[in-house]
Amino acid sequence: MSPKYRPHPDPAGILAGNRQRALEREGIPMYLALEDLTGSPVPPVGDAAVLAEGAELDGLLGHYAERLAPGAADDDLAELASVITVLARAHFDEKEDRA
Amino acid sequence: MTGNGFAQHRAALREGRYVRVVNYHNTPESMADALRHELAGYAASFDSVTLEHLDAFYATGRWPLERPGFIPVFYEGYLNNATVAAPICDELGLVAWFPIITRFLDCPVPEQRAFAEAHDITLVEEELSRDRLAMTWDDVAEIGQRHVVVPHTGSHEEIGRVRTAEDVEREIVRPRRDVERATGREAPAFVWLRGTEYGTSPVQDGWVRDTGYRYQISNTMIQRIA
Repeated sequence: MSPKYRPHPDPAGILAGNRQRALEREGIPMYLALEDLTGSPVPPVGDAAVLAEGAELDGLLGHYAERLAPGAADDDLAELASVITVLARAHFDEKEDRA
Repeated sequence: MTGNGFAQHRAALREGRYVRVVNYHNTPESMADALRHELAGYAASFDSVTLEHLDAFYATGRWPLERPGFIPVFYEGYLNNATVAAPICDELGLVAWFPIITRFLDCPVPEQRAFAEAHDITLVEEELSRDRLAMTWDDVAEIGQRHVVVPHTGSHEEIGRVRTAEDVEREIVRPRRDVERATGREAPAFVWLRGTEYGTSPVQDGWVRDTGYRYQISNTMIQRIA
């Protein structure tokens, strides 16, 4: 599977831009994970398009995390949220890649 | 602990367990055209997610949608969410989620600005001179017919400051009761100030779960808790 989403060349610029936004009046795009804590896990997702996009986003999140939060602990949720905002700002609506 | 973090989030993406959201706060009239344009762009690409869609995904691993799911979320219970954001969403056929600070709505109009300033509720400059800043319970009843309304605590409270039975009633229990009374529908989710996730504190987690909430919405996740 070839990557459809190209990493943004300036994630630090996106992060800086996000921090300058007027968040009290602007929308903040995010990708929220869907977790189950009830002991009844979500059945495996079978939609190939969702899985393909998710794999791309997984790789991109890792790519941006390496560049923007290289020393962050895995459970640093503040850093995670910051990196997700960069991922979302760069890739939230990649219409040209949607079949 | 639930092991929340980068690895877990990456796994959720990889496994297709994710949803797009856009978090909004104030939506003043001065921003209406920009908001309409932005939401129209999302509506052109995505299908908005209802509670029934979310329940279906958790039950089956499939979204009953034709396009990727998307949730516009309007936080706090601002009057401008009711007068500007909700009508725009209606116009565009979008279902939005409204986490509201219930005591902000209860607050007498002359005291709403002081309440906002005391409870970390950001106001926009152009609305400081207005009397009413919070939506009314009639607004909640109206919005709740087409959208999802959930409590964002009673007072915009931090998890660590909810300790006593009185705190629990004020911040977790009564908000759910009030939202459900206004909308006539389930208030299925709870959101702490700062989007604290479930798994941070077993005591408060238990209170949220025991109140009947089925989901907790955090900064990085939607967690099904019951």
